[in-house]
Amino acid sequence: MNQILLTLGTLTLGGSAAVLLLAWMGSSTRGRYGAKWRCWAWLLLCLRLAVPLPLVFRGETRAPIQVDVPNPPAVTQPVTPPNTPNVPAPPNTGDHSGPAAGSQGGTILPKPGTSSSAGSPAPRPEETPSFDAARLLLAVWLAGAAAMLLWSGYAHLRFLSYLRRWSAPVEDWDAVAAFNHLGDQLQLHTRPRLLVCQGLKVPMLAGALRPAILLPQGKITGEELGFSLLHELTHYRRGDIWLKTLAMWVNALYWFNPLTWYMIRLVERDTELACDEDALRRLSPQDYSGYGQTILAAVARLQNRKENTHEE
Amino acid sequence: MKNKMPRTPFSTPLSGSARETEIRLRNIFSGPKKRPPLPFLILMFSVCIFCGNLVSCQMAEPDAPALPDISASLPEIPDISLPDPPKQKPEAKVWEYQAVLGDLEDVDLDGDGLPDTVTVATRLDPQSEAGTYDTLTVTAVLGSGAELEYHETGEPGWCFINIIYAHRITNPDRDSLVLELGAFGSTYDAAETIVLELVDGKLTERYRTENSSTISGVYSTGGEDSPLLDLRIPVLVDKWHAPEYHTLSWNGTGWDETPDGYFTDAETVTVTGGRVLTLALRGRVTGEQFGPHLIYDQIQVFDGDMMFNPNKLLQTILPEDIPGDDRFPDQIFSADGSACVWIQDINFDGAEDFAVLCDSTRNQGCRWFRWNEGQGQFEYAFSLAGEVEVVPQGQHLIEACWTEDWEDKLYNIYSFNNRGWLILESTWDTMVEAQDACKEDF
Repeated sequence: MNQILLTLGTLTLGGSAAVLLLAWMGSSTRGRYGAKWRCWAWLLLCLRLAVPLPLVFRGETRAPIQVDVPNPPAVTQPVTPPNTPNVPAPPNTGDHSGPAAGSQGGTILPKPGTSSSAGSPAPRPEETPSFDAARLLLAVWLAGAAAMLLWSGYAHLRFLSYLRRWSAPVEDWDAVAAFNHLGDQLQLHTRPRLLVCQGLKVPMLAGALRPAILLPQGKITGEELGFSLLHELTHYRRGDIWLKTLAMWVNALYWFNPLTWYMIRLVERDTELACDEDALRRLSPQDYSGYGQTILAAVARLQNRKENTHEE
Repeated sequence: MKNKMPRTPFSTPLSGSARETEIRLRNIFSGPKKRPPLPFLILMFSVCIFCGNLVSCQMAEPDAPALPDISASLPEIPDISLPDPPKQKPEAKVWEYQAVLGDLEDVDLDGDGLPDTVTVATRLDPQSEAGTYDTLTVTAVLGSGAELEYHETGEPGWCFINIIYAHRITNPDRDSLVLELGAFGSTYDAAETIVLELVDGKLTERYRTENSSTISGVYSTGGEDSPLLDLRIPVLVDKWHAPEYHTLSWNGTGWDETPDGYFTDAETVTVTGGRVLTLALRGRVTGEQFGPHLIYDQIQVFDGDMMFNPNKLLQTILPEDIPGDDRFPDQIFSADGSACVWIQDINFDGAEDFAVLCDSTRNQGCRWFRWNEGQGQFEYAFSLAGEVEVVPQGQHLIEACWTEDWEDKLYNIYSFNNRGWLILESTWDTMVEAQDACKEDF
């Protein structure tokens, strides 16, 4: 039990250092290097943190940083002595052929007062309720992780329920044609569903097992539709949902670490940047401004919705 | 429509924040990005994979619970006195050396014609508080019976007494003492030369090496038109070549230092009948300050050992006399690196031949010179790439050279025709195939 907590502590400290380092490297090299490489780094980090088990190499002796954590008091479960009241000890006859009272592994240990206690019930140790900090910590951690996962599951179920109620397959021929054309261009052998969804302001890709591209109802057309579909299909092609799912799992495990929450933000940002870079590779430089305009228009629609919500 | 869509973690929603949008737009218009350099990637990925090994948590040992005092219940133990264990001092290795110049060497430091005795002692104590620390003590007992001492401390590292002799170096009337001290722990034989002269009844330092690249091997040579001898101080060129010598001449008030400007590598070749020849390859540094190259500007062939037959020069080979070819057009002999001269019987006549590197950039081109017993000289034969594999069975040569795109190596098999010309027979993709082909041909 303690080992799990120690490994968790080790990983959360090492992971925090890695998050800070990657965040610094990312911000200082963003203009020069593509975001794809940072996504790979996030993926590796998440994979490492996803399984809180020690990764030990042969020959490894000490980590560069050693941290002493307070040792919670050990479990003080009363141990039944060999001379239990119900099982009388064999008489100490001096015959050492078999294990005798007070002997360990065939070695006879001096035991003052053995003769007086032999055959008589040994005093029962007092059973005091023991406080196990390690168990408590483990329970708190598990409860937190479970709560996080349950909340995510519940949110997704609500989302699916909403989708069932308010979404429908896209019937707009232009949107379907653009979707198919871009799918061919991206060489996608399997494609997400294309749905139109009421209440949605901007397009997005959703779902890990049965992903779907969701389009807002009747708001996006023409070039903007093309850029939006290209962006979401690129997300699909890159498998960004899976990276986000993995990051969410890590966040659930290390919910107590604020840097993990920060990591989630960075992962989301870097997947968006990497997706943009990937999408732009399929566009000519003349289209960059149109692509940027599409993002701005989408943000404006989101802001509009927020303002409307406030007004309401 | 007032539905509020629930959020799901399994989605890629647009972030409406101004900052995120700004970052995305900047990223779009900042042009194509590069792939990070490999070390950067390795560092980044290593940090991610080994983050769990950066920090190690361990339980702090809890304080041991106080044990009940049971001393009262224990039987009294009689006092037993044991002898004190011998105190062990840590072993301090001190390095001490001594050398004596006595009557046999005919030392005359004061010029009185009486032989003097000089004792040089060095001591190095790596364990001292000041770190590596040594002392040099030179004691001279003059023929008159007077005793002089020169002592210095604190020059770290120089403790081996490599060379000690006395000669007329700085004064035509009396000897100066030349000391060469080797550096402790040096892997390239670093050495320091000190010259001491008896001035006003005291041993006085006249010279001490200032060049940090000096190595062991100082000697004296007769000065031209001067009763004084010159000092020849070897200076390291690189670890694969002979040193360049600097000549030091005493001008009455100070030293004139003249570098040779070249170094000379020597190789021995055994030709027909076991005759030994010496190749003296004169090298020098050429090129720019930050891109220096070593070249050989001449090769002299001496009969016998050059040290003992310096005047028996057989021939001189200059790089400009050797014609370039299509593959290796530059008319130079390169001395870059460790492997720049090969000695091997290349034409199966029982006499060793030699090759000199002429192109160190791509295929390690070599100019091969073969021994012509009739003329008693080496003659230029051909140029081949790399270290040539000589296959005695069938008398083949295998040359390994890179393809134009640097992707693969090709292995060319050559043999000699009746006129002694080298003929390309076939080309193979691997050395094993080429070797097999040579065997089959045989």
